[in-house]
Amino acid sequence: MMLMRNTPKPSGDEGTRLFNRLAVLRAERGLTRQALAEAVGVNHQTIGFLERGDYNPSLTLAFALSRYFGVPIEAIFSPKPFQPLKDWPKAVAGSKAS
Amino acid sequence: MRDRMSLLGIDMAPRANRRWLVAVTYLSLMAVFAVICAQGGDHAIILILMSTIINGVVLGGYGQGGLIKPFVTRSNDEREIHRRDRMHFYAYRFVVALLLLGYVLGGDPFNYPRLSRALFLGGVVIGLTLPQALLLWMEPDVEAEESE
Repeated sequence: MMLMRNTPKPSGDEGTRLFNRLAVLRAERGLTRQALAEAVGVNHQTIGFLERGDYNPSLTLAFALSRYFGVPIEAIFSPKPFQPLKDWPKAVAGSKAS
Repeated sequence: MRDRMSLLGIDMAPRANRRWLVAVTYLSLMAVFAVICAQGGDHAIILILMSTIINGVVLGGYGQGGLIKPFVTRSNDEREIHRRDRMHFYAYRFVVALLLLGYVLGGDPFNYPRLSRALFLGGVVIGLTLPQALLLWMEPDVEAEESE
């Protein structure tokens, strides 16, 4: 199962696509799409669209997800690809050195 | 889209199946439209009734039947409302283009009662069915909910 959506489709007619960590956050908490959907008040299909990067959430939904997971919105959605976990030690070491 | 995507025992979650359904639906409507126009448009009500029944039983959007949830806002979340509005916009543009094309190619329809009736009938049928047909045509495969 792909947990991190780092390959959004071209923007098409719906604006810039966002990268997101929804699937990772959901998997960490052992949640189904249905459970997450009910918690934030959307259809479970919408969670699938969000995870695949096929739909950008409204601010209201983004805040609802942020509140539910207890992390900032920027930790869930980003206009740039998220750094793969395997690169984290390097990135952290680099930031500490600087 | 409804949670249960099935029609006459056929799984409509795959987009390919839904596209077949839309194609068959419009072929049927076009066949009836052609017959009615050939007869002078006297029985247009049959096609309008047929479109209404197709909406209620197959496509949905306006009642409890069909593959698409009622278009009312309370039964749809933000993405569904966004898709609904976009498909209505596409359908609106198509209907306007159809009517303009009829006007330009066929001359002023008001001078040609048969043409104006055909355009009106086509506009009504497309206006009734096209948003739902576009939704069914364009939505990707519907994923089943995963188990825990």
